[in-house]
Amino acid sequence: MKNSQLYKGSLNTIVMKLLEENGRMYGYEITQKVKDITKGELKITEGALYPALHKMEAEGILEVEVENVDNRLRKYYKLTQKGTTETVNKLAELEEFIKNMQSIVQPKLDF
Amino acid sequence: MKLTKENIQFIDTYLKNSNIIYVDIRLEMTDHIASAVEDKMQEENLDFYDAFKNYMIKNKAIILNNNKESNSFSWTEIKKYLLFIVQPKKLIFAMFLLLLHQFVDVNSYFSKAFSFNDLLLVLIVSISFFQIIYYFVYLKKRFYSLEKSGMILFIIYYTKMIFIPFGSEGSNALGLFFFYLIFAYSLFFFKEIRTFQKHKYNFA
Repeated sequence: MKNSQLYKGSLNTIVMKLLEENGRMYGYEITQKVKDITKGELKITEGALYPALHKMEAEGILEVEVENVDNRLRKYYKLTQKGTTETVNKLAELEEFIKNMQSIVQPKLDF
Repeated sequence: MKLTKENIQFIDTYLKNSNIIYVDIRLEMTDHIASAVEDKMQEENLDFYDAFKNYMIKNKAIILNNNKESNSFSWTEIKKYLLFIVQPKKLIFAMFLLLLHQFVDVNSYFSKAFSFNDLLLVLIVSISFFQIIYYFVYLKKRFYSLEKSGMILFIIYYTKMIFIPFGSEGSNALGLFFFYLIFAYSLFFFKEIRTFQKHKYNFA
């Protein structure tokens, strides 16, 4: 992941936001979607994505559907009810973080 | 271009030979590599073996890094078990055990030849035995999503050994506490099997 330290804390939120918009997705699809949206600027590595997905699954944020697609099994992830609620909170948290960072990086000076 | 069954089998065998023993971890990696290889074949006009080789040269280390997850200690699983044992229905059973301990002399039902501590050991061994039969005889394949809960039983066993070592009777509140942990673990494990069956990993 580019600038991994900056993006690391937001990986779960990125995944949850994508699943909220797209319903259900599989691992490779998530990596490609992020690459497309950010025009190749942000690349999620498999080594970071799958452990994060498995952790969210164990925490009950995501649920899994396994299907036979193109001669192989594919694991789709989708948000649970708990995950949908959590996404709203996570996105609000992230927006607050971006707002605060913007105030620090580009402070509006009062004259 | 979509990969053939033989191509998929080739990727699966490659991962198996790279020491990725769990079917559920392998199936997800196989799908990831297959999707990436399909894209590569289309974008760069390559055949399967060249696309696969090019992809793996660049990504092998990252892909195989996923396997580390299956060798590490799963705190998430332990947290899941701890949340499971404090669910209201389970706690009612715990209260019942506590009352039993208060009003019934559990020790009178056991002897030196077979103490309450021996019962705990028999329960742990029976659950382990069931797990081995289930993994190696019934499923015939190894799944990380199931086996990761095995370490919880391992922890319960060693903690019990510290607090109630061999030779002690164990028919006290601590013994009943471990009885509760083991009983709740068996319910937890059956819940994991139910989730596993729902995923239908077993047609892999």
